[in-house]
Amino acid sequence: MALLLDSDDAPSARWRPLARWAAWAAAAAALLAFPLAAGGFLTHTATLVLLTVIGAAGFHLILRVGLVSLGHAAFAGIGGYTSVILMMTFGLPWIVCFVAGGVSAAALALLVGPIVLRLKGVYFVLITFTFGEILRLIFNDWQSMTGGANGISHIPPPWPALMDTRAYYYLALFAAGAAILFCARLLASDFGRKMDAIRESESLAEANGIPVFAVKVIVFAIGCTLAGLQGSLQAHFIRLISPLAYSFQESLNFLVMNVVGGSNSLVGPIVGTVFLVALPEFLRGWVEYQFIIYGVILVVVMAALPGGLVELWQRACRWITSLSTRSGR
Amino acid sequence: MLDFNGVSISYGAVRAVSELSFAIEPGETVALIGANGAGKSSILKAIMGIAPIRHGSIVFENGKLDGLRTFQVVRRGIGYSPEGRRVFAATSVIENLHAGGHILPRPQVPARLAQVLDYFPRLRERAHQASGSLSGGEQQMLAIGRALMSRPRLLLLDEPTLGLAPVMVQHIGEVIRTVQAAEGFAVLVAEQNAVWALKLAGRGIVLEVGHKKFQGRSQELAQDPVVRAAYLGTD
Repeated sequence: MALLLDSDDAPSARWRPLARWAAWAAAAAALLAFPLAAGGFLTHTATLVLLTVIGAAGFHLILRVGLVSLGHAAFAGIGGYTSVILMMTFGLPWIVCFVAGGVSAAALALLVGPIVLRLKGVYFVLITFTFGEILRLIFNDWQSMTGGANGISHIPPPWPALMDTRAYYYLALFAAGAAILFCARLLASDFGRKMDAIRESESLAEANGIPVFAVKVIVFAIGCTLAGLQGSLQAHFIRLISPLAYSFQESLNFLVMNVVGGSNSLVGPIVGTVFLVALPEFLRGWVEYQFIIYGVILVVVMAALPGGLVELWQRACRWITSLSTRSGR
Repeated sequence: MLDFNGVSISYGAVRAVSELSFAIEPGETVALIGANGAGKSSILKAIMGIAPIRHGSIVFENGKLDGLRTFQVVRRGIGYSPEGRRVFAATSVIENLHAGGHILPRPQVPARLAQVLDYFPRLRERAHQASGSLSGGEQQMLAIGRALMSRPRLLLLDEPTLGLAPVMVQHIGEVIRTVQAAEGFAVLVAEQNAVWALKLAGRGIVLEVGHKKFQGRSQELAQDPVVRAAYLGTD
């Protein structure tokens, strides 16, 4: 991840690994200490951010093979409902329900993926949008199972101890860390190179012997699995699950997080999620202006920073290096 | 090693190639020449599983190719450099070559990469440059180098000289000949520049609107008055 943030021409290459380790250690310490310093509201918001990062990273993977899925939130819903129903109706232990949440999203993605992935570009967007809305209607109308439009409330936390927001923060931190690490390793692997090749040109990737279709199905399934896991963790955190949370607007939010943060590196969705989940929580006093503020930010980012907020950071780095080399001469 | 048996290729109602048959022997170079729309590119695309075959069959080393996906054809041992010197423009030269080496067993990749860079010293100089910033000739070398990465036994080149400066055209021809001499693969080249293609190839097939018009040894074709007048522009 950090690789993607570095500018290529920094002169102090020798200090870089050390600096990188220091930065990672500082970030980890800050994340670990956060709930101790921050109040309940901030910790609650931070936990939401961490959970959303998991789904946003899944969306990012799919985006990295050039696909936008507007059914992403619905896959989170599949994971959430599966997990909650298994726990509340069948009394299974949480860890089983959590895994089942991921597996059900994966299974559905493997079932649907080979069909919808035959479509490209805007047609893929439309079919995933349709599919997501169908799932949302099922959540809404299958009263006996899903509680209908009211959803299911009083969802128990994974363990009684996790009733405490601070405790849940650490679970979310661990889960988000694991998800990000997994995605980073995947993107840096040979498989990740295949993904990049596909995003740049499917026909050329195919001409290099890359099984484009199979790679896309696998990536779609992995991305949806992450969404499903997020759905499970989130439902047990806010202790309420309802169809509203899995509409296509939520999928659109995942897209906006990636675009605002930057869609070329995994850092993008992380930055974007912090921005888009935390911001509304702090803008609650100005609810009526919330979407206007959103809209302005989105337009500014797309017009001035096509690489997202990550690009702002890269530009700043380049500017600082150019300053330091100039003063050095 | 490659047999084209009565192959017809059509795009919807439009027939690009009609019942064409020819064969390629191991290690030889065959040129497909003809005007725009003669069906040269379609033949290469049919081999790669990109263009749909309506009749006939394509056999490579005793295995049928029709019905296979493009990536499967590559895995059978056929390298393909598509028309328009297509490269992954945003990525570096090295990464482009790596992409071409996907089907090799992983430990073999570094050695093969070094070998391909030996064939194209210009690419070594530009190794870490973004491919989109290369000159047209360098991009063509990269497209060919990428196709070579998978150690193909048959190399398909679609219009390798299109839009290149004359010096570069000559240079590309020399490189192809050198590498072929070293590795012994067969080449099927589709080319509008008939003079160049017949110099490179041992045999030529002249196409006209999807039909085989002439075929024969390159020297004979180059001296045939009809071919000279129509395709070589020398009379």
